Amino acid sequence: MASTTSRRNFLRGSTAAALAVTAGGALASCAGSVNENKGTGGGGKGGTTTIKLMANENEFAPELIKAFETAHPDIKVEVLVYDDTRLNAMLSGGDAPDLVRGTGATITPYIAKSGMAAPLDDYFAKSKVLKADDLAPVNDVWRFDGTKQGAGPRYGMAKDYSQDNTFWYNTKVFEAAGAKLPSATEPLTYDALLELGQKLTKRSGGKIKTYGLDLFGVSIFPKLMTMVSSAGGTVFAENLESVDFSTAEARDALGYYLEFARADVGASVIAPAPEAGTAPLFKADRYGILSAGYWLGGALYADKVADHIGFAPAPQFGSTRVSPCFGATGLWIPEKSSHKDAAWTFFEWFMGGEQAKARATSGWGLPALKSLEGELPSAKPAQKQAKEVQTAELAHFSTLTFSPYAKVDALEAALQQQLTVALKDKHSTGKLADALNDKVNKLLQQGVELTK
Amino acid sequence: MSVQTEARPVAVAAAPKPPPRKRWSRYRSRTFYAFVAPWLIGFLALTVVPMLYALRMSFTNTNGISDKARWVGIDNYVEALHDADVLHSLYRTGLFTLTVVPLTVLGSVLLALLVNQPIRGKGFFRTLFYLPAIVPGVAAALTWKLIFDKDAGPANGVMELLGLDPVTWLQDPAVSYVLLSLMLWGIGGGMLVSLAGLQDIPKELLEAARVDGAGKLRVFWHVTVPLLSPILLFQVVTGVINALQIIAQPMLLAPSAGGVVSAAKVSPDTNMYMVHVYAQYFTFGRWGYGSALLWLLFVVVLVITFLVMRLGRRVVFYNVDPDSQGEKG
Amino acid sequence: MMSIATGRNRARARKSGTYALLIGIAALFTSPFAWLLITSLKTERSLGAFPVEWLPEPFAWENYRAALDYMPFLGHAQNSLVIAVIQSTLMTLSSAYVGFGFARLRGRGKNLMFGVVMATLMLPHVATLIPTYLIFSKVGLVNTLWPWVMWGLSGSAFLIFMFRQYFVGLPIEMEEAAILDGCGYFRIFFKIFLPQAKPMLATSLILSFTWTWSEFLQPLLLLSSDRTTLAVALATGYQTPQGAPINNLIAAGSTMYVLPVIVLFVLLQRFYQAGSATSGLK
Repeated sequence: MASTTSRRNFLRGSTAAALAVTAGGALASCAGSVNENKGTGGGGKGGTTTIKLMANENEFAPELIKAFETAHPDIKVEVLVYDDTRLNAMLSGGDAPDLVRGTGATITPYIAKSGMAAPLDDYFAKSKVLKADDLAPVNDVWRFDGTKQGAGPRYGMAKDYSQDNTFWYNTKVFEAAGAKLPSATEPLTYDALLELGQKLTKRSGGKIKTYGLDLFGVSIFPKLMTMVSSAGGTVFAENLESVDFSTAEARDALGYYLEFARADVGASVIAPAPEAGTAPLFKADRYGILSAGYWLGGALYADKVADHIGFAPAPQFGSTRVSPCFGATGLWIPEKSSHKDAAWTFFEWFMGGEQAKARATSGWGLPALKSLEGELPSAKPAQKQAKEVQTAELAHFSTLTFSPYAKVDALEAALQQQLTVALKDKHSTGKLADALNDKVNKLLQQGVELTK
Repeated sequence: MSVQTEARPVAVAAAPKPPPRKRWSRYRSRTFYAFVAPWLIGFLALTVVPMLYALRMSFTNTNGISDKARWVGIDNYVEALHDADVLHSLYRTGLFTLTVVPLTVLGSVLLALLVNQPIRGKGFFRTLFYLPAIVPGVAAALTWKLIFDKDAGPANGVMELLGLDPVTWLQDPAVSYVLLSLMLWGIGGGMLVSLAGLQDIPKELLEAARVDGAGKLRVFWHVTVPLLSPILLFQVVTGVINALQIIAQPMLLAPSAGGVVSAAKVSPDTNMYMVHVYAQYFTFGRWGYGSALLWLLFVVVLVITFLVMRLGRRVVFYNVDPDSQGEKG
Repeated sequence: MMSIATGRNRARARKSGTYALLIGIAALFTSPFAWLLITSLKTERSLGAFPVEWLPEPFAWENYRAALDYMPFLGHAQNSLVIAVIQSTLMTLSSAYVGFGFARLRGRGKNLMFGVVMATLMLPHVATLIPTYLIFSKVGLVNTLWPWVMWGLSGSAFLIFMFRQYFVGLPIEMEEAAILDGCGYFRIFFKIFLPQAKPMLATSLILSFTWTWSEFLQPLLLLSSDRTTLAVALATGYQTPQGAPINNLIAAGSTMYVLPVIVLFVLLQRFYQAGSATSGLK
């Protein structure tokens, strides 16, 4: 490559070469657009098409890409590391990627409303691999009709998913504390869960030896939305242009969080989990309950902890059982992609067939295709128990609607900052709700102004 | 340091004057511009233009992507002055500056005095003390994170040995002290500058004072400190301005789950002003608001710089000795 | 006799007190390096040991190999090197050139301009970096090396000041003789003054190389994670798939990242001191 040679030249120390290097660097940055036959879209017409897939590091193993390229010799896949800024730059610079990873549950309204994502209904209609009646309900989070998630055009699909408000428990910790194991069918209330957390927590000196309960994990916003929804309220206004945290339901949920954090029984904004996360502590029998979806089993089954764990339904805050998915990680195709057909070929190959089956049997999440629902692993007792609970939980799957006017990361950051302040300065729930309304509505308002 | 600026043109004025004078001076002034052009163009393009760009954005509601941004007048500035989070970050930044600057300046001078004594191995100690100052900030912060790790860090290991309860160092309120100690580790740079100043003090002056019967402390206070004052002032000013803009260290000390360096994860006690500004841009997408916050900081820094350059001439004692200029370097 | 003896004793006591102080501070200043090294040699099990394991047993030298492989360490190192070499070379040449102008030439507005140079010395890049980045991203310079070329070409206020101080101090005769021979100032600079300034050039190169090698926010903002420098990659690259930092690899990577800077410093110490002393910051 030219840029490597000029790089070497430069190390000999001449200024002229320095300029050559930068020219090389600049060239390299648009090298992606070299061997493309514009406008032809899908493969064929003799040459090969190169599609650009933007994903997190290590998300698509080189072997996987190679397997696809072997099956489709007319398409080459170039994997780019996902990066918000870079994505924006590529989309506005006319160098759009052809496939992008994303968590459909939270981003779909945003990518749909802003016109970033292409609707895929025509492709689904024609597909022989991904048939509409085979799509699991979770794929509805990838739909948005302008006011509601779960209806309208499909903008993507989940590769697999979990109902993320369920939880795992460590029976050894329960036995040590003399606590009753959670039911496999009846959901616990949040209050009972907190009580349990306190019972399971073992302290000595200034240290916590065994933590009771990691209930909120790292994404608090969707969990609060779930609680409010269970109590019959909503966080977002109907037009999704504002939030209201001062409703009775929302204040109850916020109050619960403050109480939970003050109880100091597990990770919270004022006592963050160790950087390695809470799963290692759970494996070491130092955590009683971990709120996490079915996917966590994939990390637990192979460990020695697997013989004393259990899986339980999502707890219930209000009168209805609500068990949503906060991720539904999958792929979408940018409207500005110039190789949509080729991108769809990869999409189909990755989302259906052998690949989907391999994922389903691994235990790292639920299949997004109904036909694969029976494929969950059940060889070990823990796997069998989890499969039973999960199968029953499916009936309570629900779709939450996020706002297209702000990224959920921004909402999450604002929420966590205000929770931290409220806990540190001992603010009331009412004051916290007001501060949140102020901060979050400013974000949403800007989003509305800039979208309309 | 500004006085040298005033004092030095002597040498320039004495430059060669070959005939014919007028054409020569025109040639020389043209050449002057040719020589300073790279800096001037760079300054305009990479400092002035970005600052004006930020100024323009500060009157809009832009998020940097949408083409529907509109003017909002001084709304962003008004909001900033009423934003409890902004005021809090200002307070923390002020407190940090008022702590870290005196500590680092005092520390660097004391360290310089210590290694300026006629003792064996002083070169070795100087090297050792300076070493941390050249460690890249990222590596230093990551090292600090290892040291103050709640479970695996030696800081809590020592606490354990002393029979004390372990401390969650990287959280409020302890994280402020962790940040402070991180800054103090790098005072070798200041030490070297102070040392250069100490060595510039003529030995005869110190001896004369001592012969006059002044005690060590008096000599230090009445001879050393005044002669060192320009250096002290320089360190205080750069120290203040750097402390006001601190951003990378608090971000690196914050939890980094997922390998994302995020301004939003920084705990309230170390949520310094620039960290808060950074979050407005890159977490919340509020470029207009962030730009307004940035300009408030610019104004503060510009005022400080201006005051110092004015004040510096009067308050600080300068050793302007034309004879000693030639030998420098 | 007595008083002389006690006097000598007191002097000796003071001296050993000084040494005790020096050694104490030295221990405090070097212990972070020691901990970095120790952590870099810990096994995963030893990392999680409680209470803290003070010395790893056995030494896990393979961590260094793993740190090279877990993420493309050498690729990021190459990026750091290319950027540092480009910026430090350009910055040094440009600063010397501009510094010469301020030292040896005259023109309208010179004092004002030099005042601005001095003022920017107090305005570090951080605050202007964000809007600069926004402009660069608008004009498509993100993910290229151009920003560093431009920063390099425009020089550094500190280095301009340093070179100016140096060139001011050189004798006028050097210039006069050349002018009488019919040399222009460009030739005077490149043929006479620049070669004279070798120690300053070395100092400037080393300092600016170290600065650039250490830069964090610039590459964080301007380069995407597969093209970024070592500084950013260290803070973000050593994570388990679940996002937990891998501390022994971070320590091993950091050690390898810091080592070149320290070696450079130990070998070329006198230039660093020259940087502090001759800049005449007083």
